[in-house]
Amino acid sequence: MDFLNSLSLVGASEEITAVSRLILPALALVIVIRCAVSMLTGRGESEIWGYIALPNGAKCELVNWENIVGRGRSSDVTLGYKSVSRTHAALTRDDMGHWSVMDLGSKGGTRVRGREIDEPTALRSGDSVEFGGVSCTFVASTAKDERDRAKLRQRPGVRIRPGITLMMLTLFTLILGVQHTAAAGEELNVMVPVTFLALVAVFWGCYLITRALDRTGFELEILAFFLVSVGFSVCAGSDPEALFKELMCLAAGLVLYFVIGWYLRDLNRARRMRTPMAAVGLGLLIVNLLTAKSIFGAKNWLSIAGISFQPSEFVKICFIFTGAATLDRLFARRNLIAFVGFAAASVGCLAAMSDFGTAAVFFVTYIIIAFMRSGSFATVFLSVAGTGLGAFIVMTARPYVMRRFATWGHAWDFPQAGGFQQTRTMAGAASGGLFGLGGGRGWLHRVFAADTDMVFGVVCEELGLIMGILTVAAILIIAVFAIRSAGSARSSFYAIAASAAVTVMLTQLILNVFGSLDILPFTGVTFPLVSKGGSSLIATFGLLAFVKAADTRQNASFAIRAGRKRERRRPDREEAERE
Amino acid sequence: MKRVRTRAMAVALIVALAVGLLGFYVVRYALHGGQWVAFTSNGDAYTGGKLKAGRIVDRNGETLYSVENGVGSYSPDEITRRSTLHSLGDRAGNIGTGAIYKYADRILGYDPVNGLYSPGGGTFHMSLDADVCRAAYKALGDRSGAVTVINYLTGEVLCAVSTPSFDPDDPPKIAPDDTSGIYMNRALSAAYTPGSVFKVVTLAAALENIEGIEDRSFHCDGTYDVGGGQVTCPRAHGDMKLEDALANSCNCAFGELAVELGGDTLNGYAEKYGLTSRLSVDSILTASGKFDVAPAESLNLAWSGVGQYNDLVTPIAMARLMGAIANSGKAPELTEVRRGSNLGVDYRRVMMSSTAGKIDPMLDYCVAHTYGDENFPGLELRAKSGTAETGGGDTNAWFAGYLNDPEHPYAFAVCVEKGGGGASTAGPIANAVLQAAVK
Repeated sequence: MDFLNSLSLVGASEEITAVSRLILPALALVIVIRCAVSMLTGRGESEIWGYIALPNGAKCELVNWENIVGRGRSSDVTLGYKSVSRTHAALTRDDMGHWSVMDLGSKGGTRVRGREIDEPTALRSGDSVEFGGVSCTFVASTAKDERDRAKLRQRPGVRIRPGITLMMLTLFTLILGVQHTAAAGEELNVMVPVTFLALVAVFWGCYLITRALDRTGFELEILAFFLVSVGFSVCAGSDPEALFKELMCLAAGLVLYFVIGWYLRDLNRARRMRTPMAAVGLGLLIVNLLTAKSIFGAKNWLSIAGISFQPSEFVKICFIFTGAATLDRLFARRNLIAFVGFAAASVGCLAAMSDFGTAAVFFVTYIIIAFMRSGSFATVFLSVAGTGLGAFIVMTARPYVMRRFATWGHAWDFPQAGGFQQTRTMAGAASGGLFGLGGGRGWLHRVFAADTDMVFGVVCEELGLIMGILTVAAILIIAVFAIRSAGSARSSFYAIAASAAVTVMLTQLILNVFGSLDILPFTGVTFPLVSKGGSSLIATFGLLAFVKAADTRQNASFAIRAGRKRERRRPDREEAERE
Repeated sequence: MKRVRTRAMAVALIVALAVGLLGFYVVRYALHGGQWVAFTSNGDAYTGGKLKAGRIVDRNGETLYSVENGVGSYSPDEITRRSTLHSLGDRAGNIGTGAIYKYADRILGYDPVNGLYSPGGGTFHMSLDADVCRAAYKALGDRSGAVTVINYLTGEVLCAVSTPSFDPDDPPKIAPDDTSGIYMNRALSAAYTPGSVFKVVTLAAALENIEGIEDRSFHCDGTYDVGGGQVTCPRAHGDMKLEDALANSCNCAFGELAVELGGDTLNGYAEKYGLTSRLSVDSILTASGKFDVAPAESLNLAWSGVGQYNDLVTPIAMARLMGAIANSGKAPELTEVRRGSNLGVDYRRVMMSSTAGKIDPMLDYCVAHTYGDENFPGLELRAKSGTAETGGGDTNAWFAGYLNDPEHPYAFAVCVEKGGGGASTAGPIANAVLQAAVK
């Protein structure tokens, strides 16, 4: 403190703000653009796990662990022969490098080494496989092939160095800290400068861990940390007492991030979590429903040993574990029905807790998962229609929900009633202009729940509309990155999980931002990583781990197992095959 | 996996939705940010409902109102305070059309780029000319009424003085059931019986609809029998041409013209000239005027044609019409915000240019023949008076017109309640105000 006073920050608040309000958006813009370019452009060479030699001599590369063989154009291995069914067979690889083939109810049948198969059958490199009488040869990549391929593939962080971007983010965070310290003046809580310094330490700690694991992709983390910095800026203005707790939750979130990321490395291990996760998720919701106290209208808080948290935040992670599925399961309708049941129970519990915002988030995520699993518009359509009916019944039964919809789009007609939060959000956001009034120098943060439900307004007011747009852009970039990654993910499990994780974040973002601006109904969900709130912060980092696990760029992600150094064999299996 | 990749594009729809909504918000922000900021619960703009910072100055930079540390103060000069009260608004917010309330975003210095980040607030340049306002207030004296002056090329309102007024630094106790309308800006929000100034409308309609009207001879015996009643003039005007009928303000001649034109036609003109609808002065809507005659009632129609019966007009609308005549039939969009020039001003053509060209010499003739050029020294004045009977022997004294002077493109309207003769009461007020305006 003495140190800070000696710099006479307090007296120079005006001058500091005059400079920082221009530097901060500029830095943020460069940070976001650097991450976007690094994540969304590049050569994008895929991994190659083997190939199928076709009768005409052509080779069809297998770029995923899960490949559909069929006549249809949407197959990964397209065989344009009449005897081949549209969706004929699946070729899958496991974590250990073992391949197998499974017939998907084809008309012409599948033969391995001359034998007709009716259950998943192991494949060895060089095996002949017949799909509907079309004879092909399967060749798996060797460890050497994989190493050669790895050398060819572009590593992230070479064109655009994440270390430099992180330095910019460091500067960004430190300027925020200085500015808040100056703005607080005599009332400065010592946690304000300490927190911003701690943030920088946490960021670099994560970076070093990543480097130590020989991974070079760090853009996802930088975007997340950018949002975290903005969120802490809001919190430093609205509730500096809460900074310590937020910091602890950030640490917990990062632990969860690395744990889930590490866990997802092993596909077999990850998919085995499905049932336990479904049980944990439903359990949490039911315990919550039975025991939770109602805070701020929604009955979604649970208190254990003096710590209050929102179980529904963590159920999001369970939901994704349960919804994601490997290719083999996509063809069993029974599996989808089980998931539909689980989803319906989750959404129902949330609706019963009157947490309609979170229920909406789960529902949208459910639709995305259901569509990615089934590819069926009918499934999606039926779900939407069914839920629409349910929602209608709920709304007529609960008048206060109806009231919320009644003021939607007319906030300015009810500025002291149903439009209370929205009108203040818009007024505060407009007051900030493009560059903001300076961190901690706004007024909106004094309005109840401004740092959670109306956080976009506080960001725009204090840091400007440019910053507000960049926070939205950061989430959108993560989402587009996940969509791109979905194509090259090793298993559909990762593709679906990453898509579902970003759907959760996107839906929250849209409901939070545009609800507070009276463009959508006001629901009171959090802006991922920016809104104050420990449970949400921790859970969002859990979600990000799923995105990380779909990032198959060369040496990009700690959540992806790197290439084999040498051939791995399971002697027992070899022997069994020899027999 | 190809299928999963394709299906993942469903998430892209949500991204597109977010981008679309964000774009929608940015547009709304650009359009309405100023209104949002001016929300009285906005703590960045107000403390305890009072503006935090800013200044209002007149077109010459004279400070009319300034806020320091959340305390607002008016001009140190009492006449300035009283004459600009209705344009600025009072502290208690009783005068809702006041600039303090209507232009809060500009006073605070809001702009969409910097928001409210402007230490010390902003400076809002009004189009008002404090000298003209003071002259108008002094000339009105203790009579109730309104004076408005506009620049007919730029649409700027130079003066909108309303009496009775009060000193905002020493507000009187006003009973809640008070009917004097002290909080009303009569220049914008009061609609008065126009009397003979309305003859300009009948004149314009006749010029455009009756063949050979300029060559017609009128005869006035002092009465005109119509629809079982009589339209009367104060005296018999005898034989005369159209311009003398106007200069004499002959009710019989104009009553006859009104009947000849018909109620629908006249109503159409009153509407086209902006006399019956609410005009907008930036975000302020003026009161609407009135012209309604049932088709069969020719006596009422004749009286309507001379500005009696149910006719009502606001001073600002009358000044705007006069400005349109001066400006070859085009009326500018009105504003209380200072405009540097007439570049980019929005005009609405309300009158044919040829009609305006015919009316101008007639109004010139009115001044020379009836009101006396010597009463308006140095002014290229075109004007029409009106002495509108409001019942019980009371009259509204009107004087409205413009200066045909490119250096001083001003149109005006003066209306004094219970004021006696239009030319005798309102004429001198107009002269005093215009002399201040051209100085």
